[in-house]
Amino acid sequence: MIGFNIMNSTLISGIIIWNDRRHGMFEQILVGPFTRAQYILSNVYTIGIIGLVSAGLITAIGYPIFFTSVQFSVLTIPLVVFASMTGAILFGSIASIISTRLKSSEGFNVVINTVFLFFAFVSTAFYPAQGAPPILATAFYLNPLTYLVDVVRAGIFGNFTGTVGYEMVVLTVLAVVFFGIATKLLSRLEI
Amino acid sequence: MRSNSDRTRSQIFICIDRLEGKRENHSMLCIEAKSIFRSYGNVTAVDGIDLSVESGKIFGFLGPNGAGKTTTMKLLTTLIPPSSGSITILGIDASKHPLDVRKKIGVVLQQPSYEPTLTVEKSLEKYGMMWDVDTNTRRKRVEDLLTAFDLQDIRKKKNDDISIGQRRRVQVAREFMHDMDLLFLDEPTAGLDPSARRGLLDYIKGKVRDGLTIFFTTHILEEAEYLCDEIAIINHGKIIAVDTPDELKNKFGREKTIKIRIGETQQDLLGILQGVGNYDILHDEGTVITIHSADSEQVLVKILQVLQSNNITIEDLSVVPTSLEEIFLTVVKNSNESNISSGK
Repeated sequence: MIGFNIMNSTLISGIIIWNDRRHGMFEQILVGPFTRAQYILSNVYTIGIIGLVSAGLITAIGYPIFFTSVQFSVLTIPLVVFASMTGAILFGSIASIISTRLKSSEGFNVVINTVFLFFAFVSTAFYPAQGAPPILATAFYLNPLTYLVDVVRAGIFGNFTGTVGYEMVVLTVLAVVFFGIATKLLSRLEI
Repeated sequence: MRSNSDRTRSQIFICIDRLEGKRENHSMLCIEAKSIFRSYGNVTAVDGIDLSVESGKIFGFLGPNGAGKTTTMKLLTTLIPPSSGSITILGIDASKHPLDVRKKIGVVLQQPSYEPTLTVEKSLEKYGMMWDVDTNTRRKRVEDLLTAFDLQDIRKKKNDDISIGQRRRVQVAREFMHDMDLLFLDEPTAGLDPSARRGLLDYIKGKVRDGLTIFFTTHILEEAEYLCDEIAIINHGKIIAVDTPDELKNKFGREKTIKIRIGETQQDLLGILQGVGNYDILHDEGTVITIHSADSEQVLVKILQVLQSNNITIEDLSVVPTSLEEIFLTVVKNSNESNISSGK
């Protein structure tokens, strides 16, 4: 739920770009003392904070329900913060890429909902990979949300393993690559 | 240890250096563009223009719709890169260091830009924060600008709830929240009523007196005439005239219009006036004669003589100098005709 919420709040990143373009603030910001990468990062920071706050709220509300299996440790906060930040950068960059490629807000909404629903349900966010058909189980691990959820689970349930470490590396690499692509596309965006 | 006299002497030298630096700055070029081109696919929006704008001046940039004004503005403000050519803004290479340029300039774009849910005063406040203006300066500037731009009454209203003209005022006022050396204004008075427009132009003039340089595009030629020290006219992406408003008038506007109203209708007036010479004389049955001539003084003397010798009384007489608008139309028309004749 925390991982899903982090991803879902990154939708705002694309919406921020759309609103800025609609109200002329996009160009106004770009003639200001900022780079385009800083513009995307500022959006990502915003949603990262929203993601962290919502993760904290979900943990607080859900704690009485799953407190028996919770194993908070020194790694809990670093792992959740890591997941929030890399998730925000990764999914925020994906939302930014979609928003720079589409020319209408309606098109943006349709595409972003389709993509994010796919991410949400073809992942281990709601059900485990064990027992799923082999093709679906493989698809789970082609989905970065699965890695994000695994890192959050490792933080909260204290089951940090080598696989989680590998997933963290994959998340970081994907976040850097997608952020780079989003910045490049934003630079090429015709103004 | 340095003595008091050493300290005083070095302070004097610092003051002299600053003064000299200020003088040098004043004569330096704020904008220097050489052979800049910008095309979109097969369409050339800016076609090899050169521009030089001196510090502390208001430079007007005029042209018909689609002439390339806004594209030039976007190039100069680093919003888009040129296809070729070099742009130097405040001594900085704009292609190599666009961020350094943007830190020193202000830009009011042609299109509206606002945060719909922010109030007028919050818009100014947040814009100041964006430019990292310190809290005290920010608060003072917000108050000053709300007053200067007549926004006090609507300071608590959201941008979504105010008129287009008010929003435009907020957009222009907002740009003065931060310090800058050069301000680009793309049709800043669009949508403003005459009183707000005059207020804005006077405010801009005041800022220029304080040392700011302005690059100003407009469609309203009286504004350019009122405000600008130098004017460039662009058409089809090329600069077709650059000079001071007075020099432009001298070059392209020597022709004046003489209007004479005579006492009563004369049947053969054109026949009588043929004695004046080969001038463009218009008279259509009524009592008004209109003459367009570059030698208005000579024509006037001759016409008065002809009218007097034919006992025709003059009720009213006026000589109208050519306005910047007429010059603009003439220059653009000439440019269009030369483009057609060269097959462009």
